[in-house]
Amino acid sequence: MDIIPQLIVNSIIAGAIYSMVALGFNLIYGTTKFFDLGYGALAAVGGYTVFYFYKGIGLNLYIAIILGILISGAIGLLIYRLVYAPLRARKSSGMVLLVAALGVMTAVQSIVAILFTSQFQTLSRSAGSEAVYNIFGGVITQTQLIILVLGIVIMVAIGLMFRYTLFGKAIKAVGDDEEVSKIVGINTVRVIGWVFFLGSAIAGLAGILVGFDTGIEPTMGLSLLLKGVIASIIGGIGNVYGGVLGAFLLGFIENFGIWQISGEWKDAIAFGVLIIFLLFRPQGILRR
Amino acid sequence: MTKTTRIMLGVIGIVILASIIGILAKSGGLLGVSHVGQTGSKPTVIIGVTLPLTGDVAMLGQSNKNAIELAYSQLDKTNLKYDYKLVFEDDGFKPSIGATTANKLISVDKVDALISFGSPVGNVVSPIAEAAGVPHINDFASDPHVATGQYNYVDYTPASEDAKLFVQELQRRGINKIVFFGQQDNPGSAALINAFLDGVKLTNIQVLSTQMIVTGTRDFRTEISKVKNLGANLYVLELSSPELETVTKQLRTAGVKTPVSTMETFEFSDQLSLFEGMWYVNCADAAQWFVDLYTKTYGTAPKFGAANGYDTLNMIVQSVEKAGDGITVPKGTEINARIGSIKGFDGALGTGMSMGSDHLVASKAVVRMIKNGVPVTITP
Repeated sequence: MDIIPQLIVNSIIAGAIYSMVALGFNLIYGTTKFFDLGYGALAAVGGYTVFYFYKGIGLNLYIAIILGILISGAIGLLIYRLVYAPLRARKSSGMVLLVAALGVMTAVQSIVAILFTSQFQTLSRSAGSEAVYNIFGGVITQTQLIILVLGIVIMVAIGLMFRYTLFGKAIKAVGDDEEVSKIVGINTVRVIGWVFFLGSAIAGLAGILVGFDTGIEPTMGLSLLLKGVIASIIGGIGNVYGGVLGAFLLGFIENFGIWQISGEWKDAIAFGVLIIFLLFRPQGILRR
Repeated sequence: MTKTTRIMLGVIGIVILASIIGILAKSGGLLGVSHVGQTGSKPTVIIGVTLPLTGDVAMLGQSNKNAIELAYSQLDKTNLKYDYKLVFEDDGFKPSIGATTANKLISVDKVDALISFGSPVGNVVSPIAEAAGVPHINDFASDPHVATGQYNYVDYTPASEDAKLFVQELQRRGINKIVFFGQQDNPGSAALINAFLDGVKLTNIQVLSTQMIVTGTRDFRTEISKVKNLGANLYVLELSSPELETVTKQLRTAGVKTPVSTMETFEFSDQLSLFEGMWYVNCADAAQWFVDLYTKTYGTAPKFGAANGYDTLNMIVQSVEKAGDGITVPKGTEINARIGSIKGFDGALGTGMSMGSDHLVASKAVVRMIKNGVPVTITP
């Protein structure tokens, strides 16, 4: 039973990472109703931007992180303007957009691999010397603590934005009905552009934090995206709070699920839960 | 300009672009393909090599490629019956890509013999080579299943040799409680663990737990939590990079101070300092003359398995020379018969080596230790 505190901590850490991915994904999906697979690749963009500026040319860590977040956001915006916006303007079907997103993800991953090789890299300069904290018998590192805190901060910030800012209300309006939003004078192209910037920046930040926690590789975004999507579907697709709830639930199910069985079942458990929700509660725990 | 003209110009442009790409690809300028060798008046034997030149084990693949090219450069070309040409393909250590590169080497490059690298790729190349009747030697596989069939061979220290020495070393050091971390989808990892479990049956060594993980997993905290308090006095990591480094770091972060060891995998890593002071079992050491020659040629020491690449090319060339009349290139069956009967082969891994009836060139394992970030053999 002395394993339980550590399992709880592990579940919370996994949940925090998934929640960050789910937050950005749900922000984009909730606004555009579009399954943005390319979103996952932006986690790698964030990670590799920091890798280049921090470990490559020795820039200050915090500046490198800010650059990583901004560049991820900018690339997300650029992809929207160059690929998704024209397709949406042409009223392309969801399938066309999905295929385009798959192409974007593959292209971004390939470009990252060409620029940096596909070798696994770590972002931290001094491996193994990180501060470690003991919480009720469970061990957590400084990076994991930061992931947890930032996940909560971003969730609260997005919640406040929706509630108290005009921009947040515009996002909700576009998500509810894009055509009506246009009629009432909302510049939907600009709002969606900003949503892509924000969502992609969050993906970039998730990639950076995962890079410090474990490491980075060009394909890292796909597994993160899949977990973020599962979390979103469990919690309620398009619902920002639902995504966070689903993320932590998924973290707990995965980690407690492999308590008595081999770790190789972890993904099978995650996808098994996804199938159960799709069959019996496709709208997720919280409705949008 | 009319729409039809624009479409026509577009189609012509695409055709020109595709042609340029095709020419570049054929010349080896694209797609990670490279060719070594020249053709003269003699018939040319083409040897295809699929190995990882990108990805997490690229440093081992590159070292293996260097060794094969070194062996090629040292061939006594004037006295050989045939000209030889090498075609290299990058498989990234991924079985799916390995299947593509092997098929391409056989069907497009029409290779007369194949060399592959490592158990994961070796296991998919073997049935392809078998079906095509192309002799195939893997120079980096612990898994003996790679040598299944008539045309497949392995020139690498077998898992059973590694396991035998590992058990002996555990007993010598009084280690009797161990935990394994293995890679479920890596046949080399499974072969080593199974060979160990076979070898440990009549000893007092207990395997307290075997944690099998899936390639690509990066969070092992729960697996570590499960084994942390079992009282193991050694963690054995049968993982390739980067899972190897990630598990090691997460073990240390979780406060586990127990030593780690391995059969074969530490030198997959380019972060050897993580394993400072740890002993492990590795494949046979290269002869000193090979290490010196390689170092003089490339300015750096060979990685493990490079000597196997050097020997493998020489084994194939020797077999072709014995099988052929110098007028026509011998058939796969003829080359295969010669490879299967290799005896008394002197190479970079020692002298008097032979191909066993199990299609394995058995070489002895050694005990090594990481000292000052460098692998050092401590028990021959």
